[in-house]
Amino acid sequence: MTTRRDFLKLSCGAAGLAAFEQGLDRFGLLAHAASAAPPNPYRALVCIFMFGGNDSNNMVIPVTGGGGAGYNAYANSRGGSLAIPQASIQAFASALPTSGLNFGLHPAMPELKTLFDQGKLAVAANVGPLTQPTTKSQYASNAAFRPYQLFSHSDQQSTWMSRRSDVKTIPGWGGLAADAVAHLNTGTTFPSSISVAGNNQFNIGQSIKPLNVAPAPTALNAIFPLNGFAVNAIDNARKAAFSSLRGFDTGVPLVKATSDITQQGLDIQASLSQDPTVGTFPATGLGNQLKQVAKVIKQNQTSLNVSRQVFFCSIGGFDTHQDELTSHSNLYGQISKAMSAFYTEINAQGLANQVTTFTMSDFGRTMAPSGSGASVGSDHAWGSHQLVMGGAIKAADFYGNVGPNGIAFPDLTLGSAYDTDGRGRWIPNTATDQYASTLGLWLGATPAELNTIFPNLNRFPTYDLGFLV
Amino acid sequence: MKYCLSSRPVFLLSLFLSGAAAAQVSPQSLFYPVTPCRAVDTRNPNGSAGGPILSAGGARAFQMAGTCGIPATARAVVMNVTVTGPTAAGDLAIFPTGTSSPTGSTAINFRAGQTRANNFVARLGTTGDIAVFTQMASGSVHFIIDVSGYFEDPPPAPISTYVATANLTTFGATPQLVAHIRDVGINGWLNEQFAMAPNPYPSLPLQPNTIPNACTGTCQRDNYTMYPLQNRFFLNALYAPDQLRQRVAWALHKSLVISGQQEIQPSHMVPYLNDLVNNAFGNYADILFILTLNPAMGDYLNMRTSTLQNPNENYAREILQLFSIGLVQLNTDGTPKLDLGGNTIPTYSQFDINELSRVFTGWRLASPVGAATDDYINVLVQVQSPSPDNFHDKGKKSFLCDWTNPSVPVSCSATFPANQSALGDVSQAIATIVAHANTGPYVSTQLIRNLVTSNPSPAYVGRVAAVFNNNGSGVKGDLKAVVRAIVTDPEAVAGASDPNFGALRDPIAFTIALLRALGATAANGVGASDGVLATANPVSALGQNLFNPDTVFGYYPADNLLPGSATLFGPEFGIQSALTALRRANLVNTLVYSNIPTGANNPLGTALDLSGIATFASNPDAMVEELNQRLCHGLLSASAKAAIVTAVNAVPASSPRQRAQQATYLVATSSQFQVER
Repeated sequence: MTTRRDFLKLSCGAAGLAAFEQGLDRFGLLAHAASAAPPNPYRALVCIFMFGGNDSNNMVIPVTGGGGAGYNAYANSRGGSLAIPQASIQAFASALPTSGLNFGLHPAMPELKTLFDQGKLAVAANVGPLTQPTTKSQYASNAAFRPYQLFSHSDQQSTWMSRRSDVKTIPGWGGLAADAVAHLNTGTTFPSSISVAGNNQFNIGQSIKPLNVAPAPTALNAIFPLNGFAVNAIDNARKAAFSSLRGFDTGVPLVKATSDITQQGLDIQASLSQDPTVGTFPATGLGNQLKQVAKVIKQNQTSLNVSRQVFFCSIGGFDTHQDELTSHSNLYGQISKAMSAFYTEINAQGLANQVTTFTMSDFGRTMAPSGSGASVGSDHAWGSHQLVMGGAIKAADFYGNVGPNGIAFPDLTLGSAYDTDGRGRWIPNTATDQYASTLGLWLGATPAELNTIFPNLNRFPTYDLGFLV
Repeated sequence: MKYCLSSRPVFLLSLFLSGAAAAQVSPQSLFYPVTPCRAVDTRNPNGSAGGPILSAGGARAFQMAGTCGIPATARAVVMNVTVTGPTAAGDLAIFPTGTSSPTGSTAINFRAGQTRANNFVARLGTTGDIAVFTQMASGSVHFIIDVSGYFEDPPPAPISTYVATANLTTFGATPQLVAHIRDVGINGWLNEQFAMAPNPYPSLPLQPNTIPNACTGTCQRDNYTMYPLQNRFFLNALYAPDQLRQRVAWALHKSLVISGQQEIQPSHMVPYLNDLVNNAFGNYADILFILTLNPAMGDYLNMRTSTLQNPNENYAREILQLFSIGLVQLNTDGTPKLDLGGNTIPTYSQFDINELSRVFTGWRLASPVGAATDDYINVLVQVQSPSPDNFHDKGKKSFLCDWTNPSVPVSCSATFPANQSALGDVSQAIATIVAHANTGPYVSTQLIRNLVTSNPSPAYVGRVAAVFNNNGSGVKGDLKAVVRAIVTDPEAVAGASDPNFGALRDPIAFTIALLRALGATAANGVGASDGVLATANPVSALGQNLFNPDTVFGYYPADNLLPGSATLFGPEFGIQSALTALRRANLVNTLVYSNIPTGANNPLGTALDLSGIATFASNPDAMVEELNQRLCHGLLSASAKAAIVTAVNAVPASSPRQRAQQATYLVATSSQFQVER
């Protein structure tokens, strides 16, 4: 347990943060005086978490042969059972600017391929939890190079959402980033950390209280109804008692927590009185979540007045120990259609450059197949590729630290310098800390704040992977 | 109108408990001596404790309670009986009034002219008196009764104790159940429950793997969704007598997960659910062995396709992480062991997972590969053709080792010899896992969290884990002993005296507890509910879809922290949010003010029976106290009760049902009911 140590660090960080905020506030006031434009233009991060561990080896695929990062190495390692046929890959229109290699996306992702070609999508390649830059021999010989509980679903989900990879910690980096930019949210009490996919660690910060809302098709103004209260003396008396009961027995932590949660719903109820109209979204789980995010963002422009927000969405089903090809066609298709619809809607709202959508997942999966017969899948692994979408993308390219093969993409040969054990578990080039800090920086956190949020960040080459401008 | 909070209302719950077998001398009765005292002397002038002399065949009644310091609650009196001056031989019999003279009630024998004495313990009648009867051929006899003490039951435990026990051992206390547990005692109740025959899930026909085009609507509902099993679960929870077994099976299901999201045929889930029901009081090692070869588990965690060439790590990983030993090494009291740097110590490494994956290779469904309708009834079988050697990895495996040098593992917990059969490997694996020092504290913690409290003290976990490790007869994993230890532990009994005690009722427990406490009927108020509470109704919207948890991690994370706390756990809070909190209130609104109506999937519907509560309409204090006792173990604070009473008083006394609705809505939506303490 490291909670005590963490707490002390956080306390120091909070004090430093407060001092920093004062300086920034002065700066903000000066900027405001000099210009009629709003001092804090809207920015939002939208996380899509692929629960179960996405086998991104089949999401981002080399198209041409040659070398460890080429199609032949890919096909050899995947075996006949998991390899996507070369001809059906959604190949990008151009070679990657940095490496010059030819890549594409899964066949079910034509919409995202188009966004890549338009410069609105980037790939953070082979990202994963790292305690520090790690080589294959360091991983094999030294426990200090192994992140906390690698390969365990619950712990790796936690690590991706949290602030560090070496120990288990409580807050999530989304909530902490929202904390850091909370000073930009002046004049509103509406929550800045919102989930449309249930409670999760990502949204939990030190001071902000996350909000959990229902996805579409529930109307935005129908998310928090309290049924059964008419306006009459009897119901008014019941409402009065209903409200006052939450003030009693607060010395019992479980009771108090239950009351606080109910109270939050009643408080938010008043803010969400309208249901703005947005464009068409697929009627899938993720489609409905992103639709609701789009509605909150739209409503925010007219009444909620939050300047910086983080959102959490998710899609499950990626624990593809079996039937992977069938599952992927379905899941990647849902992701591509839903993300594309979201981009279209946000663009229509005029906010394309101000909303950045990105993916995370428990872990990558083994390059080598697992299981037999028609139901082949893959097992838990480590590094994986992530997608980032929005008008703020610098250029459609692969981003990340350069690995042993000289590029930001692993050598897909089983047993390569990236492989922990011969089944194709990639040691990440790039730490989750760096991926998250790049997003947090764009949201408005300062490098100093990011170093506080991610205590291991300075162990890595850069806090800005450069995919956002 | 003014209501006096200090007045002592009469509880329906209390009425249920009063008057039960008042004249019985229970095994718990204790002896209380009194200063020797003459209670009766027939030689004295005529009176209630004096003459006249008793004639042959005569009988007299004497009041004992209230005499010589004998309290009204005394069950029996210890006395010295003296006869003097009998004119003929005979005897005196002493017995409780209101009964006929039973055999063995003779207090003393005498011959004519004798004066003699004898000690006797006389049971008292319901009003605290005795009858004295003389059997003589003729004549008469004087007698004297000197009292030296009495027997009395110890003061009864507070009703809330029995409500708490009822809540820990069932899906929710009912007045009848509380009365029964008080009558038979907590151990008697547990013994009854342990002895009760299992109420299993009915077997359902296997259906084709691919849903036939013609199978839509109710065909699909009944054969390709959890609907029939959800109904059975709720009916069992609401009405079945084997409550403790069903509750423990439910707790086991939460930790040993197979989900209907993947195993969509209810027929595939029946053997799994019955494995849990039938073994709820069995041995944990047996459960792990049975589940390992259960076909639905084989599919859910992929062991059925794991082979020598392509081992699948899923089952190997989850049986360790979730079903038995967990991720970090534990002390016997469930606290993590720490290394010199203060860090937790992993229980296993990826190398161990690789090895255990090899152990679990070589199994398939009992039906032929490629069958249109797979066999999910019979257990997995070892692959025999084309060659078992192509499927089960027969090499030597090393498990739970020090892998500092991966090519030379040392200090292994188990080494699986080369050429051992797939079944031999599974048996050895289960034995090794159950023998691990973590299994006792890990499984005990899960069960305590699912049955009693989210934050058990290390001492509590340690006491239960000790029973898990050894049931007193040298057996590890005896769940009957473990369950008894969990629900009778001092910490469980003391309960709410610790402010951190308790757990948020999850949506299913919340709904059932409310329906049981007040009574669940069909929508029309006649007969039983149809048990359709998970499909096409609000319960799933509360965030818990019965038998369809999202992942093998279950309905919510077992290590979820209580919101706002860095130290307290609140697993059920993992699915509680502003959204689901208000939906809970709205479900209460539905049940209290209307019902779950009949419909395509709801043949009878469900309603809450408020008639018992409505009988208190003339006394709002009593009404609220009755709900407090039934739903909150009497834990509602005086100020909370007063707030509810005020709201009840806003309803005219002439509308008893509306008063019951007003009060029930408020107590059932209170955080104090949502948290079971």
